[in-house]
Amino acid sequence: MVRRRNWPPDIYNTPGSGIIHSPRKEIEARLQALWPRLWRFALGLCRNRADAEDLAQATCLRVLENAAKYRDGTHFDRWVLTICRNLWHNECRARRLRQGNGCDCVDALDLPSGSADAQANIFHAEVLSKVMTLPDAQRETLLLVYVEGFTYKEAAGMLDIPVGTVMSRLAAARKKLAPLNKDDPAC
Amino acid sequence: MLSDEHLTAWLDGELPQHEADLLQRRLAGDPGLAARIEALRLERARLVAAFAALEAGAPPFPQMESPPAPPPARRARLARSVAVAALVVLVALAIGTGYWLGSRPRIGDWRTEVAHYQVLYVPDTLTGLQPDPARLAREFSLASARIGRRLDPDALSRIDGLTLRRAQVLGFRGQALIQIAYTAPDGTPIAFCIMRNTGGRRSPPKNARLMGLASESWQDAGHAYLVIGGNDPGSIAGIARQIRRQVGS
Repeated sequence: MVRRRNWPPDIYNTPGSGIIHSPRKEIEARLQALWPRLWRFALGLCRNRADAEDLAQATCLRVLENAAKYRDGTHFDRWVLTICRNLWHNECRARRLRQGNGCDCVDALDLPSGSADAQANIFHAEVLSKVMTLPDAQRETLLLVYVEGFTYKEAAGMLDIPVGTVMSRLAAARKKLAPLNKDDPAC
Repeated sequence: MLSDEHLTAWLDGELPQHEADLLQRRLAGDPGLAARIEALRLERARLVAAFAALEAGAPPFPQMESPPAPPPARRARLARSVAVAALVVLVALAIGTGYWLGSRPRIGDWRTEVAHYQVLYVPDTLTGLQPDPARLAREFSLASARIGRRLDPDALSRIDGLTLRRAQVLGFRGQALIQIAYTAPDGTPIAFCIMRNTGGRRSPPKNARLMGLASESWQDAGHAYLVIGGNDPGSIAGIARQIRRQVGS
């Protein structure tokens, strides 16, 4: 039997076809687009820049290692942020075992200067410092629902908890953040 | 009595429509309920804006290299074993005939540069650096990200007679160069270094004396490796063998 070398046509490598052949390359491109958001989420979890950068990088590495498991059409951001959150939990557990305390190194989060007006920066810094004082469970839930915009059901799936627990964590977080309303610039 | 969770779900638009309508109607004639809602009020836009402002300070996206290839099929593995066996025979022949002298790293080769750096190490450089698992975990995590390959501090601390001291990210001609530092029981500094193998050519273990130090280097498809330190080639070969087992190269 004669093997037809040119069949099937190699549409994936046709210049201008717009289809990326390597899933790894595509995943890497998506990671790059998600990077600022991933790092920001990591910073919300770790509360210090050194750990956040390490965590965001370790997440990228884990995502690329598991690139074959990603099914196109499913929610990439949900998948990546879940990996990030699970890596951080494992790290905290390991630190507790090794040195008796968890991940409690907190930076004062300076905002990049010059990017926004000073008044806005003061309000942002106030919000961030208040969020960083929330207990870990409330903070990660708040980040997923209020900052990242996931629904209760999606966040429950990512955190592997019932929707009712998402609700009680958010209610508790809202009460703790209520003092921010007193100097709400929007009011 | 409505729970705070219920009110929160209403504020977040997560209640079914009929329940939301019911609550809306109750709210009009219930000042107590309105006060409870006020205590739960949160400006989501402020949260979003504050976290969005952080993004401008994000570090650059890290350069990623290919992760290790998935394990080959049995047939390919067999073929590789045969190839490795053939390479071992060739290397043995080459060493036997003195050929290996010709393959000594040239000036400008990264291994030579590492040797220039390593020769400055004395026992005091590292013996004061106590192995701290948390610090090592952070250093290895950064090194893994930079080199595009997972390096496990636990696996790499299981090298007979050596104490794992530190993993550092160095640079050579714009490429990351990872140096993992050990000390022998007598304090002799030993380094295990890794760079990306941009050419992709595999190379079996080769020993060489660099700047008076014993060394062994090898390459797999993704990375190039070097173990260097002390002056005993036999001991370096033994260390390199154990390291290859631990990193699976």
